[in-house]
Amino acid sequence: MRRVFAKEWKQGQMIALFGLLMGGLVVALWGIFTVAYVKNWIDQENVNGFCGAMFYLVPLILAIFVGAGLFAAEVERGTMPLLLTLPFSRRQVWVGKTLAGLALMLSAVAMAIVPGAIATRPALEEVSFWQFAPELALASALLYFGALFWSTVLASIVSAFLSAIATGIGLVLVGVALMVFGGRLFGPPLLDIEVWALAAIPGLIAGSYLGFVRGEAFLGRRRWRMPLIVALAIYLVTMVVLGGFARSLTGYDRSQVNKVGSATVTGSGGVVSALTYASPVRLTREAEVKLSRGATAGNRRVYSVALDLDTGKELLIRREAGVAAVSPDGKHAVLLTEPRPLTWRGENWGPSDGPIVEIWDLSRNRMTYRGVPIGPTAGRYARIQSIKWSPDSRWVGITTPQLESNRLRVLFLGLDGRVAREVNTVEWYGYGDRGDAWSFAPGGDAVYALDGEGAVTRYELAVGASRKVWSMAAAGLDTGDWFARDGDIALSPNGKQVAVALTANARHERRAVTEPAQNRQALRSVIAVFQPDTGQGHVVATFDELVRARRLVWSGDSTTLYCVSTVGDQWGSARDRVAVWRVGQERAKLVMLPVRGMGIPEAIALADGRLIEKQWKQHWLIGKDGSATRVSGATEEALANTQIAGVDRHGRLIVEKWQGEERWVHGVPGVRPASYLAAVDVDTGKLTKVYP
Amino acid sequence: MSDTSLAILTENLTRRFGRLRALDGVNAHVPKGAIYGLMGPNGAGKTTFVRVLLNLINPTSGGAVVLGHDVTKEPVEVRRRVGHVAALQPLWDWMTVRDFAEFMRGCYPKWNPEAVSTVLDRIGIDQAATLGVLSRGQRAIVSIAVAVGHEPDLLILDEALTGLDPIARREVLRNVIDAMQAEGRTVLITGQDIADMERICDHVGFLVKGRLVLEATLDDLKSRVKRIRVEHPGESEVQVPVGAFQVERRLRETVFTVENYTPDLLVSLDGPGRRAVATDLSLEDIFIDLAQAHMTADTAGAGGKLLPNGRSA
Repeated sequence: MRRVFAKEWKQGQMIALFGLLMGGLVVALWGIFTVAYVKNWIDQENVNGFCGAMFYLVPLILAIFVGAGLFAAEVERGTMPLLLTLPFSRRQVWVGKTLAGLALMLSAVAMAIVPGAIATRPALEEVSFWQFAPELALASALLYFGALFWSTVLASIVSAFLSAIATGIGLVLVGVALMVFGGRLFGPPLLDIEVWALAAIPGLIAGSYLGFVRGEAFLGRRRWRMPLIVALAIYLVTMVVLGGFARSLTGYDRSQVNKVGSATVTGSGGVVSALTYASPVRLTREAEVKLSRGATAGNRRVYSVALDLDTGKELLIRREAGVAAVSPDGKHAVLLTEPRPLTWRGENWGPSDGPIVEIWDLSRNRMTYRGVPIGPTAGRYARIQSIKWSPDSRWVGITTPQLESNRLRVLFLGLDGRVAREVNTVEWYGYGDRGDAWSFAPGGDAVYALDGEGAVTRYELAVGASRKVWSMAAAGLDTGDWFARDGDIALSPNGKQVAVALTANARHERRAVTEPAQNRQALRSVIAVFQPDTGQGHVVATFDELVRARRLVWSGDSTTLYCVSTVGDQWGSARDRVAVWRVGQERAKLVMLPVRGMGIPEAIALADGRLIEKQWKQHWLIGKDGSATRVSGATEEALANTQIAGVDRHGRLIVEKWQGEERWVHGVPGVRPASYLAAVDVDTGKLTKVYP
Repeated sequence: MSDTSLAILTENLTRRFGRLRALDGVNAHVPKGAIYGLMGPNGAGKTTFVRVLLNLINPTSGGAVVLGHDVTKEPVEVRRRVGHVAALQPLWDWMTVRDFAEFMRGCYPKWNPEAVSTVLDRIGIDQAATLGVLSRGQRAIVSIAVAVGHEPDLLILDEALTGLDPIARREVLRNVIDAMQAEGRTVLITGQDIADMERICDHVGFLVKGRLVLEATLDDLKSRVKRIRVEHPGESEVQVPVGAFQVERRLRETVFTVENYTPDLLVSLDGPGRRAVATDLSLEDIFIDLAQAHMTADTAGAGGKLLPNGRSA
């Protein structure tokens, strides 16, 4: 074997020099484009990109070139019988040649890449060349062994070269298909293309070995069926084994979960993005993006978990699946992943591709849909703002900002992933994560959506009809220069009342809404309630220039409406004000809370109808009568360092509770240490750990 | 299946390529120390036979033992003790003659550099020359020289003398084959240069359409295979003996060839008005007669029954 290796090594030394030459040519081209006079004509960014692309090509070409020639060249030159009549076993010849080929390939690649990479280091760093080094190594290995396989069984350099390229493309296609549809075959978590491609290498090696040891291709007789069948069989077995291994590596271990986040509680259960510490094995591009994007993630894996909060049982576990929501009936879950990192698009950071939407049938643990309904063709800046299920669990509403038109864009998907309706509503930038510009109708087959003029339109999802059901003008308000800027819309649980909160443009001091009775008094915000059937209603509260109505919350019995507002500009709140309106009353009662805060307060109605609001570490309980009590004592202690997740079907307040203080990490605020889900009794302060 | 007196022993060796039977039940016996010439027309299966012996290809059925080693079970041991040169064998052109010899030297446990140098020097091949610049004949000489470097117990020359000029051919025959014979080692030569075969071989085998139709020592073959001419006055119906072939009936004579000639045969053919005469055949004549007879019989559907191999049929 050593003799064969030595002979191959000596024979192939020119290939390493060829690699050096290729690398040198790339450097020369880069130099010409960069420093020569043509630099005035070509953008440097394009030159660097070209340079990086060329360097990607070099290892691939060398790998396939070396692999294809290893056995086929010997056959084509007629020297294979000479080699095989030496006192070596076929195994020794195969191993010697294969190892020599590997060594040659690595040497050639090193000769091509290293000096060139040093010479063009700034350019390669600019195009993040090294970020894809693992993929490049894997692709090179795949092409080398693919070429080796075909070189052995076809005994023709050109045929092996072309077949190896076809094999590489085919394996990538299989990887893509398995990544997309694998969930239906293998269940979660899904593995990335690289894993599936990696699984092919043992089969190619075995097929090549078998083809050489057993076959007679070296005599010009192509016996490709048997090696190919063996290679395919081993590929399938390796996929299963590797898939299982990868799953065990990345498998969900509840005992390892030390952080929960982005928890949302529905009437039937909860969805948690669970973070666990993990080994630094990098298997997916998604994971890499996630980890590099969020300092909060660090060296961890992120799972989306659908939970039954009553039993603590995990209904669905998906790795790196992004934002998730369980349907009200608890039968389905929708998950949205943004697979690509955010990139700067001139004015804003946005994903370069649309989010992957998955819909899962929880009872059968089967994915019923996976796709990209909000793809690049449908809007480049398809960042997800919120997901909402219809009350009847038949529709999913996905809200995304559409930056070109500054509008919120809402897509309504059926359970099969089909987009049933698309609605463009108000300008997006005034609506925060928890502010909604639309709401499902009680039956779930229609939605009410605000538009920029302060009107509410009802859209029928099944039939596609729409009609305006309410407007400021209809309510007797002057909307001459109305410019919707901020607000919320909320349907009462019994479906009989629609509440609307609207705020005028504050930045330009536009006098927005006036009430006749107040003689065109300048207002910033207005809260109105109307009946969806008749459109009849009235304004229940108006706020002065400093107040911005942010969130509307109905009590569970539909008797009381709360509107959480902030006093001050959008970046900081000097006070919070809560408007409390009871059905039947003319005007809402205004409650001023002496808190300072930032952003939109957290607020949710408790089972008994009270509102709990959190702003800047303080929790307040607002009664139906407008009484405001600051939470203190044991309850204050229980709610310290928490974020409200929701109220479960038993009326328990579910919070995400973390240990220690939030902090800044690498410029990212609000990074939280270990956390868990807990149920809190707001009256007694009793805290019960729910998950993990 | 073992006989220590034999360098090569095959039993019912068969190799098929699809429907084609390249070797069809070959039972060959090559004694140790013999210079064995394996002859046959184009496509007879000579190279396939050699490839099976070296385990380059596996037999479809049957078996072969070379120097006491089963070729399918101990191929490395077989190759270690066998020197092999194929017809017009391509070499690694980027090597020099010296590199090539050094490479081969590293592949075998023992090596006799003088044996290699002797052949090369006699032909006048520069060892510093690159193989790629040598002529076809020179490369054949290099192959033969290197093939004897490890002092093989069996040297297989698979039409290796093809392309050699007469001087080189004589040098090879004198320096390589004679030396092998002198040392009691075995040589298997395949080819169609029957004059050379007749000069150097002491054993011959005839392979026709994958079947070994005859195998014998050269002397025995020549004494056994004779052409018989029976002269008769008119159109007499001469009773041709069983096993005769290449029968030609003419107006006043009948000519045929027999494999198992004995003087008694002439006596039985003599008679009133008839006279039988036996004449010797050259190896080339025997080869042509056997090949034609066998191929004719094949066409007629008689298969290998016409002239069975006396030792193994």
